[in-house]
Amino acid sequence: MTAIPQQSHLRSDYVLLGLTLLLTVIGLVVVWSASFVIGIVQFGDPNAYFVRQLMGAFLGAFMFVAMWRLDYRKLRPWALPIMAVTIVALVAVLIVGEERNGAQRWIGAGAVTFQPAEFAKLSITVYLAVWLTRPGRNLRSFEEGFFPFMIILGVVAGLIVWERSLGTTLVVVSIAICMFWVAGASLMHVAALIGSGLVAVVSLALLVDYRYDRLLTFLGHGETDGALFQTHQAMLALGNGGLTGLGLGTSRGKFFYIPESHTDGVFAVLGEETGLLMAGLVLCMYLFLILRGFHLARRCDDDFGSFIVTGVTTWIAVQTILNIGGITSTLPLTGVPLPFMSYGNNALAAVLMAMGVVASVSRYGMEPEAAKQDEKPRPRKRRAT
Amino acid sequence: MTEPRAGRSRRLLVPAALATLGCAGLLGRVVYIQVYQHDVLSAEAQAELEVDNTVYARRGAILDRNGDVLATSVATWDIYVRAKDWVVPEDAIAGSTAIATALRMDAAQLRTKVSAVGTGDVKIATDVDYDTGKALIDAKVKGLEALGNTKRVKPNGDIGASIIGLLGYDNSGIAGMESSLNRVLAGLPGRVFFERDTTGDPIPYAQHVTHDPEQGKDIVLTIDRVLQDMAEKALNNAVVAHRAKGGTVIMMDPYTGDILALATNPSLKYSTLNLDDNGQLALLKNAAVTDLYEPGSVMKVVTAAAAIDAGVVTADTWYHDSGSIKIGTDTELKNFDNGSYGDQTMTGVLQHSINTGAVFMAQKLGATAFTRYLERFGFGSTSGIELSGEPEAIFRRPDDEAWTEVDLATQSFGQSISVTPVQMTTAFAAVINGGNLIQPRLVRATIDAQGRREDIPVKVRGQAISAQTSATLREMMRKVVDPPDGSYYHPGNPRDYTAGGKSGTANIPVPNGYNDTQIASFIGFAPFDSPRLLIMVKLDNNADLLTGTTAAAPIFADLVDRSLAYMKVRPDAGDLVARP
Repeated sequence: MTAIPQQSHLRSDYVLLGLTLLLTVIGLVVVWSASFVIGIVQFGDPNAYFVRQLMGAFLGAFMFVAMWRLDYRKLRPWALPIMAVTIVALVAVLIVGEERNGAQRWIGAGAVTFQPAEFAKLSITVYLAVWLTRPGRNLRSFEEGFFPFMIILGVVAGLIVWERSLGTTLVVVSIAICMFWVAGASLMHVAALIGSGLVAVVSLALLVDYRYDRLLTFLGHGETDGALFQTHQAMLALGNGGLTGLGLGTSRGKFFYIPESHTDGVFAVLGEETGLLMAGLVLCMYLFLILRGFHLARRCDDDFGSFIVTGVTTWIAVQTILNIGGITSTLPLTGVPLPFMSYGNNALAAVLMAMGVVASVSRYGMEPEAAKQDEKPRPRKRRAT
Repeated sequence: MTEPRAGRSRRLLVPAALATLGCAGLLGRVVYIQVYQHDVLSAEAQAELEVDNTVYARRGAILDRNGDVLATSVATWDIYVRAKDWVVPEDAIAGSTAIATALRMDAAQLRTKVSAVGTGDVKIATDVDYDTGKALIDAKVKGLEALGNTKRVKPNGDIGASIIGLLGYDNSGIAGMESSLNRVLAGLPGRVFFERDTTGDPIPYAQHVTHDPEQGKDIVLTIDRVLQDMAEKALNNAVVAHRAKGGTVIMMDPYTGDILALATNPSLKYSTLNLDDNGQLALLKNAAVTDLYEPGSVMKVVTAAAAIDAGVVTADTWYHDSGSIKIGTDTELKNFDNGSYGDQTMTGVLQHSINTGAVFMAQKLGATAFTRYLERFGFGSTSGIELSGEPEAIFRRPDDEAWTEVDLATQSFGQSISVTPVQMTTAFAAVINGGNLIQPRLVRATIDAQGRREDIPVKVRGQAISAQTSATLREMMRKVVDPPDGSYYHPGNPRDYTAGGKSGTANIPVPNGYNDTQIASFIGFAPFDSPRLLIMVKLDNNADLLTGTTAAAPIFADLVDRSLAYMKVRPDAGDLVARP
């Protein structure tokens, strides 16, 4: 769709950049609206959560710009050290981490907390992109492809599962499998991975109480009022919002009806306040962003860059679908944040940083000659983006 | 791995397609929820959000004329137990023990009662006093559900019960002043409507409607609880002494129409109230207001007042009583004792209660004028007293088809005319107070929740007779109870006070005549110079068949002596008075 202008290959994909900025800004507004009540109750300050989220946004913007300006190919030698640091952090969180909502995900105290799992998504994306593009590797073979891939994925996913964060594990596994597939893995291997992944998810869900409840709730046999309440209240909020919504800032659901209204439940608040018009538009923006990402992955001349973009796009796609699917009672609740929107400054910073890398790929991943070759004449009007 | 780029491009279509499918599916789902399901979910959300509370108004108290409380409301609790909270035996034992101890019940019986119901809320006590209930609530007894209520308390017990009346289970009046002034006492409930958060607090920017309740007002009765007690006791004693079926005592201020006491027998009694007893249901009305009777000879006072006011006779007009009078061709009316009194003045007619004399006066007056006077004394219309259920007096008028000359004659001495005790007393008030037909009343003021008192003005309905006629009638009635010549002793003459009055002994009409049961009554006033009290005493079906003079008049005299003393009125009768 959007061509790299021929006179310069150093032009980024501004559609992706614009969508990222738009979703982040909408996200900040929704977090402000969804969190002021709980902010007053918990901190006596309606802006408590908004300010923290703003900090995440600034940090994310800084990292976004830094990654965007940096040629992503320079990350290649750093992939292994970053992965190592990530694994150390994931182990550390198990030892010294804070437990919140039944999951051990946090390091730090007070307003400054660090969630290694959020950044692990980017680390494993970059590391896998390196690993998958190592010259001479035959990904289709069991010994060179499937087995080592299983080991890497097993270690990272295992650590995140150990933190009792099933949703994040699901996201990481999805990223890895999608990258593995796009890189050319055997269909059999991928199918086996997906199959064993599903078995693992279900059995893990059965192991941990609250996940079991969520699953049961989803299957319509909820015994626990809490989980049932959560999804049902999100449905009520969305339904109450209707086509045009109750008005920005005027959600009723956020008065403790929708638990986690400012984190996992933001989409319900958005839908309640601004109706289908805005909720549907935001959903379309996500889809556009995702398709734009996969399109970039296709266009990219460099496998390494392409795989990174594939990973980050998968990350956003899976989290969006899991989150909105859970809120709309379409899928079981998994507790993953909605990218760019849910409260969580670590998640926001991490996803913005990842989008920075994607922006860098759009900027540096295109060879001028290749771009010319790749570009087919189209009747469409070109847009200088 | 040949042609990696081409393979990659193909393979990327899979996640792109999956993401598109996923997002499109979710979009469909959101449209379904937000548009298709909007009405259902919105209604459910509103049901969950909306709180619509009635804010009950305070019910005003009922006070006597001096401010003593006759009925007032206090906060109480109705106690329920949520049966499902007592399914676990330990919970049931702990909860029932706590409740049973506080409410002095048997814990085991309580458990049985609750478990018998199984589910839902079981009502176990009503009108639990506020502190006891609050202690249970504060103790957070498992399964306890306490709903605020109010209870009507009557610090003066049964005194005035037939006037005060009753509240039903819905706390609105079903009898007495509680019923007829329910709107004033109850006020209007208010309403609070808002959308709440999960803790029940209002959501600030959501809908919030508040209508403050209109608080009920206290009503100040004209009743004096001491006089009421006096009247009730005197009546009840008389009913027992004369083996009567019942009776009425009314004490009225003849100038204002204030009813100071209104006793009926039988009467509503809180202490023995049982609304499951059909016999007691009849007590919810006040017979002095609702029941008609033939007044008998007391009506001669009205006849005399009318005839003198019209100028057809004077108090000293002479007339000859032959013992009977023939009306038309086949009706002969006799005196009550079948005797004849010879030449008499009109005063003598009242003194000796001569029926033929009353007929003489009425015939001199003529039927049309007599009827007009009856109406001017309030007969034929309701008196306007606040208690409900008052009928109009019943009597034939000359323009009625069935009217004959006999009706005029019998009405003149109080037969063929049915009135209520309150109407008769009110007519007497007009006779003695200078001729004003006043509206008898039970309420003299209201006091709103802020303490602002609003006095209700005395209402004069009309002028029945002239002040001159009124003075004449007072003098004539005084001569009834205290004959100047001392020719007889009248039991209606009080010991300490000058008084006037007239007795009545009426047969009770049955179809086609009268049987031998009677109503013995006496209506009188005191003191003579400036009447403070008008008292009616009426005994129904007294088995001893004593006349109004013998049975009712002594009660009048006794009540005058005691009540005027209570009212700090200086005695003025006999030797007690040092005349200049």
